Amino acid sequence: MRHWRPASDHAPTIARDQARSERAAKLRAFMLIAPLLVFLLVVFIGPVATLLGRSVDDQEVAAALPRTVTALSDWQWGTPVPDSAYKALVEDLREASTPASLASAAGRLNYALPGMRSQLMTTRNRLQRADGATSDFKALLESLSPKWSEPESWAAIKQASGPVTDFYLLTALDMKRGPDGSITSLPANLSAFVPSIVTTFTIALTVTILAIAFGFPFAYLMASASDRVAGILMFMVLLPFLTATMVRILAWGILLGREGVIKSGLMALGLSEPLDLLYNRTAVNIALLHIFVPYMVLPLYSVMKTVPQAHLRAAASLGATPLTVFRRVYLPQVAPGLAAGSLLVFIQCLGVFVVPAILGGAREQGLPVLIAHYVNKTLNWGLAAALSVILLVSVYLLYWLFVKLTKSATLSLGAR
Amino acid sequence: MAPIVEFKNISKSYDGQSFVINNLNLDVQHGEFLTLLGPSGSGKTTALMMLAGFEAPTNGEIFVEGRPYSSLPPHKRDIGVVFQSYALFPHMTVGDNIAFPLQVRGHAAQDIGRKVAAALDMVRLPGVASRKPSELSGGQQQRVALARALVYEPKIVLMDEPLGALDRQLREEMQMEIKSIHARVGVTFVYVTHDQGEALTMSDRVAIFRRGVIEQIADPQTLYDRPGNAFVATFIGDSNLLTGRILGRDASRTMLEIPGAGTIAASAGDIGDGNANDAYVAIRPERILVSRSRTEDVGRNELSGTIDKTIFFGDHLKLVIRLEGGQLLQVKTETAQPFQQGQAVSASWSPEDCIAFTSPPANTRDGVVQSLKNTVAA
Amino acid sequence: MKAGVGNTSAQRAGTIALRLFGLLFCIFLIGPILAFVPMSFNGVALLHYPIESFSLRWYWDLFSSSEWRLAFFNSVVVATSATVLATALGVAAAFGLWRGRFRGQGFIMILIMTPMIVPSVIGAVSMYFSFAQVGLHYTYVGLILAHTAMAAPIVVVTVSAVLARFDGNLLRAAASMGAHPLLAFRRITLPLIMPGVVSGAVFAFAISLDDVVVALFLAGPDQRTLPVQMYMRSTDLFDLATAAAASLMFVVAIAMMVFLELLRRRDQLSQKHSGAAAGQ
Repeated sequence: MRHWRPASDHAPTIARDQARSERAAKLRAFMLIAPLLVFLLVVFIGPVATLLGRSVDDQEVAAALPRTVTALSDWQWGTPVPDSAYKALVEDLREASTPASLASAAGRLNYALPGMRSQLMTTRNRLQRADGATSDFKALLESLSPKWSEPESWAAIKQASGPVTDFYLLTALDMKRGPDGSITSLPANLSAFVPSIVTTFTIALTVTILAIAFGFPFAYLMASASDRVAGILMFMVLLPFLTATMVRILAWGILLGREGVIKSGLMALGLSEPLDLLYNRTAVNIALLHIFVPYMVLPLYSVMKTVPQAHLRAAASLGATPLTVFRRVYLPQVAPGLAAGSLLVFIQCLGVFVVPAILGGAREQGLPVLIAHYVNKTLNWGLAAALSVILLVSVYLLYWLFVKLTKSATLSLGAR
Repeated sequence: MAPIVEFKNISKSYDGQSFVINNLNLDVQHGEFLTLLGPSGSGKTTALMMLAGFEAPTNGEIFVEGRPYSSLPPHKRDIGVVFQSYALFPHMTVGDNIAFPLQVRGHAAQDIGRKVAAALDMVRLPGVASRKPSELSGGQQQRVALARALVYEPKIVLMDEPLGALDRQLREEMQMEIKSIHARVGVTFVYVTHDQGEALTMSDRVAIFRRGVIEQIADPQTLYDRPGNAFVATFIGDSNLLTGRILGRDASRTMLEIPGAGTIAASAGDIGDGNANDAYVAIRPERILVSRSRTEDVGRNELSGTIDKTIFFGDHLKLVIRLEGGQLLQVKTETAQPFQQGQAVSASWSPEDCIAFTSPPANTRDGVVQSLKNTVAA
Repeated sequence: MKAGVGNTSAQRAGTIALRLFGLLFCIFLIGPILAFVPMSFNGVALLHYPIESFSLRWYWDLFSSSEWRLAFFNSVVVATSATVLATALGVAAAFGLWRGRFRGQGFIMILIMTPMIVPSVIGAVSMYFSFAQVGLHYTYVGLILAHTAMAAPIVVVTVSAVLARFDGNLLRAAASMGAHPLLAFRRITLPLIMPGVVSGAVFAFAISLDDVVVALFLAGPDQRTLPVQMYMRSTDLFDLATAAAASLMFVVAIAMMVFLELLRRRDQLSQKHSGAAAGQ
């Protein structure tokens, strides 16, 4: 190494300032991102996290029956319920200051053990009328409601004593804990949620396969067509894409409906009984294909555009049959687009709510419809949250795969 | 006069481990045309970007007119920059592009109009003010970029490979043009290029960069005639590099033995403490005289060999001579000289025209040295 | 391959089959939407062809119904406000992501993409629950905030795509000439990325206009948007006023489509040579 003049004796040591100015530049750039990040955290990500938190949150019972929960903390299934628990429950019920908190605890216990709501509320009402001068709380409670002699009631309270629970998540997977704490699956005839999960995934898979079956040749046609034709085909894909989903659903509803165009056409030809084409799996699949096929076509098209025709010609000139050319040369090159498109369609299908709600029958209602149902109709937030966890975990696993495959976190649809 | 720019102990590292610039000390004089020359990745562009304020040094300080500049944001530096990609604003007309720095500085409108016209005249592009940059050729765009960097009379103008995107003929034309503009405006120019011809033609001084340090800084003539080390000797122009062994030295001469060929005298270059064993000798091809028989001139080095190849270049002839002992020597001669392959010849040159080094040239830009070494090995 | 290689008769048949398929698929794509547009002009309350008499009565029904009028108004107000907010937040974030080379930028992007990944039902239920705690449910503000969150990612994606083609040296050049970063952004960056910003805004508008699920949860009767109103009426598929509303939304879609295409062409012009036509 060579120095062209002697190192100056007042060598400035201001490296710290410069590191600071570089950090400042990064900070300024980050300050541009911060508003959106904060906004999303407050308005969207925070609320979603809160909802998911509710799937394991279990504080109602402990809030309403604090003494009982404490008294039961050392109790083991199979041993007699301690007398202190009876006393504690009587005191908790007598002093339940806010009936609202007791009602929500009763509701929570009722999810786990049907009948517990009325058992608790009845006991409380009768307790208020009964005089308080007794020391045999066990006899008192069992006289007010004979179910207190069954250890299952106490096990339900103990299991719901919080602060976190796996109750909702297990329920969402059609499993439950016995009074002894062991996990069992519900018999098939009682299973309520697994069929919905299966429905959700079956529909998503069917539509993805359909989207490949129709989207692939269409994207190929676009990629091999002249610019003008490709432009027209692109217009055909994008126009429905920009049309509100509700409009497209209504269009299919009208087309497939009892007096719809297709129906009347078929009937005029004497081909169809006056069956409903609506409210079944086919209607849902068709509408979903219509809505989501652009997510398949666009990434496929942008990859296919980059495959050089020369490769295919070269392979053919080397003696490969068209099928071999397709399988060995073409498919590997368009595989990234195919994977991205499939994951996009699958992810979108998992979350559909309106299409099955309007065009589907009872057997087409998947997880999203169930989630809305538990929020709207039964106000069972814990269960809605648990179902959301299952749905969201599935979606994010697929999204993770998407990020790995495309090396990009953005759900862009490829070059337009 | 104090230098206008001083790099003091400047180092730059992106990853905290390897240095792109390693303890650089460099002065730029008022009004000079200084070129930073080096292969890609040598740190020359990084040095320029730090002066412009687009990169911050990891260590050390840059002074401009005596003021520390490292933490000054680029828009407060008053340094013009011309980019290889021109960086003309595509949505503005040529006139608006050149007016931009003046508007930013709050010049009066009629003042701006006058200065824009003058700037366009200076780069000999009158009458294109209302056109879009995309309507101009590459060379024209480069002139506009130059006019834009000069119009507000900055203290210093930096150019980052400004001619890299132009074809050869246009590039040579623009070299002359930039040189003459520099002579007219008298502003300090700092110019980055990897093209040694460009550097030698245009510059007052050239700083040769390699691996984040300056190998030599001097005027073009000195660089060519008295390279400071083997790297500079082979990087600037063509040079033969013979390998030999130092026999001894006195105040001005170093005696070397070229294995199998004979003994020669050379000017001492970068030979360290002297009697190291192996050394390299650099000789310019055009400084060698070839004759059919030995001249026996005692003042000159003379080695014998045979013509290995003759290559016709139009304006000159290149002879490749295989010296006794196997090393190859390239010679540039007039085309009229009748030499044939296999002919026995004698090559001679003055000891002033060859310089001995002990440090290896390592990683030179082309295969010349490499091939010479291979020949020796073979 | 079929179209590109060789010319045997089997391959020619394949080409023809592919084109036929393309035609049929085009009909599948836009046929259903086109089919009901004429019905909305049917003078008779029947949903089949042929149209018996031409009439605007369903459109008249639509505009004389205070419910539908409110839905139109709400959709315009909510979509416009959400678009403005999402565009401002999204452009700033995209520019920040482009400027700064952070570690963890991938993670920031994943966070920003959340509203596009999370199924709308979960987003809707979550926001409903959290907004209710602070009294934001059943308000315009709540609905606008929700739609802004849902629309912002597409703005970031679109603007980032344009910025990827933006030459950073232009900003360096501007700085060297003495332009403050803010001035450089306003005079250099913004005009050049404008096509991306505007198409991002159009997509944001489309997302707000498309949303049923979130509005279903977050909108009270006074904030009901057009898609929600249509959803509410969808139990009666034979209400031709709904068909008329849908036809109008389809017209909006065509307008957005044409607008995007114009933007794309303009953008291409500014890429290639021919500055004069690109205009200022």
